[in-house]
Amino acid sequence: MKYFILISMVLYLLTGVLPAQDTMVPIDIQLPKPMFVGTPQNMQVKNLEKPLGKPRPPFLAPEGTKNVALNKPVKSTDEEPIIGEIAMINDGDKEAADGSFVELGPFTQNVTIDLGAVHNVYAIVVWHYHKQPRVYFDVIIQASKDADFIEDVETLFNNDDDNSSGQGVGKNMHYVETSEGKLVDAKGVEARYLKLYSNGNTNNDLNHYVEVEVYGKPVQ
Amino acid sequence: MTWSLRHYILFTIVFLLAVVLRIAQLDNRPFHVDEAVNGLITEKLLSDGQYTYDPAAFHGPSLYYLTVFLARITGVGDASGLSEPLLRLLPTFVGALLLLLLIPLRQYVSPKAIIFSGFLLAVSPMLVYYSRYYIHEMLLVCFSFGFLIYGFIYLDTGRSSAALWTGLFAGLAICTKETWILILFSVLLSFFLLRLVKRQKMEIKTLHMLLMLGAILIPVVIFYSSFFTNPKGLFEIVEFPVHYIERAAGEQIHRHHALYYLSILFGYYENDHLFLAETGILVMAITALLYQRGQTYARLAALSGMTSAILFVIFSLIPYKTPWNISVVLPPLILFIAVLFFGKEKTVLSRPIKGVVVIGTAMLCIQTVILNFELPADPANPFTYAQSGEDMLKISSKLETLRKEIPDTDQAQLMVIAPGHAYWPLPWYLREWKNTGWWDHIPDNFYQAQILILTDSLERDIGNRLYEQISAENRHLYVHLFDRPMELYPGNTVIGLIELSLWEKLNGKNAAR
Repeated sequence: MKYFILISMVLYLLTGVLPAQDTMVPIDIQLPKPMFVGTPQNMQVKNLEKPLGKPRPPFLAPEGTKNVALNKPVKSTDEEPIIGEIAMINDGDKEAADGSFVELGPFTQNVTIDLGAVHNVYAIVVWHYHKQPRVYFDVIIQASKDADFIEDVETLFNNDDDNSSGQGVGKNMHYVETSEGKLVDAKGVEARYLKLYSNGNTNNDLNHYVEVEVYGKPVQ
Repeated sequence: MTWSLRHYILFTIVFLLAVVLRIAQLDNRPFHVDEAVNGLITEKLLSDGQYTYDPAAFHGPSLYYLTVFLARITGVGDASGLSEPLLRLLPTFVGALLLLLLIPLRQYVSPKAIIFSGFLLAVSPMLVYYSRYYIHEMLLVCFSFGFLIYGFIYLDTGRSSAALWTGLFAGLAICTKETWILILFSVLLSFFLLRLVKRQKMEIKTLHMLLMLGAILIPVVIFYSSFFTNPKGLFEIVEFPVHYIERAAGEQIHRHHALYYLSILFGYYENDHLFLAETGILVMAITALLYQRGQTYARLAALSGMTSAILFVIFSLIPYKTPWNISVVLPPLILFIAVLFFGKEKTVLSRPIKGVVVIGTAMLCIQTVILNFELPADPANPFTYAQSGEDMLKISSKLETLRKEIPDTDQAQLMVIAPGHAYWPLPWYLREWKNTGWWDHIPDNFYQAQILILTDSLERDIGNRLYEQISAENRHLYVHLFDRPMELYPGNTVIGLIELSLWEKLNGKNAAR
């Protein structure tokens, strides 16, 4: 019994003297090596806007303003897209992933959204493709009450600096696509139809849309 | 043709001019992505002796092996001695070697033609630019030019030494870049056309054919098998046409219109700057073609002129275009001009033609200074292509300062995150950071990093994940490392984040000084 008590006391003392052992396990930190890549794309675009470098501030619009383009009828100059469906342009899915964008044919193409009634349009946000930095050429956004865009056509944005898409020379700057989309101030213009042009991009001649949102209110 | 002491002195001066233009301020432009990739491949070869040819991704092995050879003879034995200027020394050296390839032609054309060619090669803005660039192009240009010159000499003289040199230059070109096939095809096509037009004989003796083949095989076998350690590399040479065709026809990001090369060489307007680049060469070539035809050694002029034109057309028709690809047309074009103007010993140029020559060469000199020394990294410069600028140097300098200040750098976790691995050329500049992870997505353990460099579009995502997924006890506060988003190259912007406690510690340390 004496030995048992003695051994127990020694063991007790040892546990006190020896540093406590942590039960923590080493964290497996992976350190992948840099992956070699090929020559990157040369983003040499005239009249290119500098990146904002911070989240875009919220835009102000009258109370009750909402996305009035969601799931509204859309027409396109390319009714049979290479990838996706025309209806994906305003289906509310703004992800960059495959399956969330529509790919239209090369050269100048346009899409027209019918809001169903005349609205005061305060802002348009357009995402062409934001999985990688790209600049789309001849981005033109027009608003009208006329389905044929013959009368009362208001051009809200135009960066076609050489009139290659035939809608006049635009003064707006080229911009790099981001997940924020491009916000265009529509200043409350009255319109039922919105037409959006593009003419290829810095990667290829094709045209893409992930989503188009039109923020407005029906005209009272 | 007779060379006097005056000719030798003049040629030496021209050669020295070529060396000075190529070697001066070699670090006046940050590394391009391709230079950084080549730099790290060379570093691995120098430090571990490891290199394996990859036909799918990269060009041939000559650049890496010759750089290691040059590094060793300059006394650099390990990776720590490598720097941007040292790596750029090889293309610099090869760019100057172009001039020496003219010397064997002295039996055909006047000393004046050799010296004038040498001068144009020395001051050509594009040849100077890519001689200061750690990529494969200048090696390919030099070896192809050697193949053209020695091929001509062999067909003219039938000398076995010329056959040997022709084969050796062809072999070295094969070891350099996949486009060798287009270049050697263009030269051979020019020889064939020369035979048709100028009745140039094209007899190759069997022994010489074997000699040529042997000379081709020597560098090919040595380099592609990684000095006989990777025999698989030899078989992979045959895979390259498939990859090259895929890239040339399919790769979207380097597709440019057919007139792209014409514009970057002879008239490029960007950001209110008009760059005339090689317009001096074009003006002289047109003048020579119109007014000097038939006055000089016609076969050499025809061969070099045809080679240049065929190469220009082929490269312009291929949708895949990068500016350095077209530099190969310049040496034969320059030889064409010089032979037509000064091929015969007693050629006397009329006053208007002399005027064109003076204005043309003056234009080249001015453009060389602008493009190579005033705006070497400017996105408006027609020879830059996704070129990193000032921001890259600022990122590098900031991180280098941090590395020196952090007490135990080897323990400091640095994570670099960029979709599509678009973090280059950072791996070259951060090669001293031993504890760095390179990611193409946000890893689960990102919060363990003391320093994060990430593509700016990920900022919001990483903020959300930090506060929504990471428990408070594991979460660090991060602050911005740079005062604004920084450009790795045009269109690719990153931000830097540093753990608040580390930032405070470093700033406290600074304040205590």
